[in-house]
This record gives sequence, structure tokens and C-alpha cells, in this order.
Amino acid sequence: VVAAERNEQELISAARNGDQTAFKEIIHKYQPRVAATVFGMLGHCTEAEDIGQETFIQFYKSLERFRGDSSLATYLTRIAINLSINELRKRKKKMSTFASSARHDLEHIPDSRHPGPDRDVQRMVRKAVQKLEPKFRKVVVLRMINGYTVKETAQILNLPAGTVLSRLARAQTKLRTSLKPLLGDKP
Amino acid sequence: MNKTNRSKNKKISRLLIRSLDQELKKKDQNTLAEALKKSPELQREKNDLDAQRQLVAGSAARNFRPGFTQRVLAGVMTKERKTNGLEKFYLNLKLIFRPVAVIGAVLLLALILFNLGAGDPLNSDEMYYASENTVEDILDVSLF
Repeated sequence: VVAAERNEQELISAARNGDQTAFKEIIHKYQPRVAATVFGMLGHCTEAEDIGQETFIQFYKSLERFRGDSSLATYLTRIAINLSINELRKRKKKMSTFASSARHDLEHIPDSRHPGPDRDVQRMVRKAVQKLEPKFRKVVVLRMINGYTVKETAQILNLPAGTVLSRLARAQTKLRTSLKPLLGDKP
Repeated sequence: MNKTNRSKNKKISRLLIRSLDQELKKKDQNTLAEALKKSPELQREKNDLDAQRQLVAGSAARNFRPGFTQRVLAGVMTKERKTNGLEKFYLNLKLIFRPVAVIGAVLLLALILFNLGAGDPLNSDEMYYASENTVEDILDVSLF
């Protein structure tokens, strides 16, 4: 079976049996979702890349335990969110010791897909998302960026759906204030 | 603007925000649709919210730097190498002794249950029985 044609279950069982091509295929397939999650949570920095790598490494280690109760995408997103939250906690601790952490910003790296003004807009939006408290950022990343439904978001975060909805509403209001210049909103 | 109008507007705004994440009830859908038709301001608010959602959705980078897969595989190898040796030995030991521990626990439980069911119940008189013999009585016993 060609790797590209294999479905989720086949990929997982092949990876369990030590098929490296299958694991590579999993990384390739789910990388965009994991990237959106960690970059959304941590900002566009090298630490986010490290957390992205760690997400797949943790998944590899837990391959035997993965029962398939949730989809692979949801499972990986959950790992990515949990690792990002740990990273944010570490950052908070570090912040009290070092005012400005040695985080390496990747914003300066040229992005051929979004040149010029588009990139500035993206940067502004990313900054606005980063300004949100983690509890709001989590729901924004899962619902608005990754496109999970409210129910799925609630499951991933282990929260009631009502809490997700109210956090989304508050996050929306906060974002609106930060993004006013981009939306041409009048006060 | 009077109090009733203000609370109505608040309700409509809430419905508008909720409509982005949830399917509204038929009645609420109609209320919102009617309000949107009547109020250009509300329509503008809806457009802004939609635009904001699009901006946020499009803002996230969805790719890591080139060579990501190789870096992950290298990370896996490193972790595997670390788990080799002593850690692997302990892991195997744990795996070997797991069935022994389970069987032992089951046997212990069975033994306790058996004793509870079949054994004589303990009698408090027997438990706290003390000999009435004094030290002198005991010492008086002729051994020869």
C-alpha cells in the first residue's frame, strides 16, 4: 500500500509496527494543524517549533496506548495544547527572573505566500491573539484558527460547551478592540 | 434610548455573536434575521465580526520550517537511545513482574475471603484471655 493512500487506522498500525514511512506520513499530514495550534498559543517563535516537535515525539511514545477514541488530529491537538500550556507556565516563571526571555522570534523570516502588507496584517492579528489571556487564547486557537466545533473544543479542553461559548464571546470582544485599526471600525 | 430598547439590542448582539459558533433555535434565527434587515448598524457589526474571524483564521502559520519531519525523527531516535540501557531493563523487569503481582494479589484476596468464610470467628474472650495463675503458682510447679 502506498503511504499516501493509507487511512488513519492503517497509518497508526503501520507506525506501531515500526514503519517509519507511516510515521513520516502522519507528521506530514497533521503538521499544519499542530503548527497552527502551537504558533497560535506561543507566537511565531523557535520555542513553538520545539513544542511542535515534542508533540509528535510524545505521540510516537504513546502510539501503543492510542485507542482511537478520538481522531488522530484531535489527539495531536490535545497534546500540542497541553505542551503549549506547560511552556507558557515555564515562560511565566522565567519572566520573573529574566525580564525579556531569549525567545527567538521567527516573524522576520520571509514568507513567500504572504508578502508585504499582508504580512503586516498577519503580524498585527498574531500580536492581538498573543495579547489574550491563555484561557481565551486556547478557545480562539481551537475554534477560530483550527476550525473545531464548539463541542470538539470543549472535549479537547475538557470544559463545558457553555464555558467555551462564553470565552469565545469575550475573546471576540477583546480582539475587536485590538483589531479596530484593521477593521476600520468606528468607536 | 430607553431601557427596553437597550436590553433588546444587547440580546440581539448576543445572538449575533452566538450565531458564529452555534446553530440558533429557529425563533432566535428569525429574530436575528429580522434585526439584521432592519438595522444597517447591526449588519455592519456582523460584517466586522466575520472579517475579524477571517483575519484570525488566516493569521496562523500552518507550517514549520523545512526539515521538520527529519528533526522529529532525530528527536525520536535520541529519546529511544536514552530509554535504552538501564531504563529499558527496569521497564522489562516491571513487565515481567506485573503478572506475578496480579496473581499474588488475587491469591491473597482469595485467601482472605476463604478465611473469613470458613475460619472460626475470633472470640473476644479468647483474644483477651489471661491466665489466672499467679507467678507463685507457676514457680511452684515441680519440674522433677
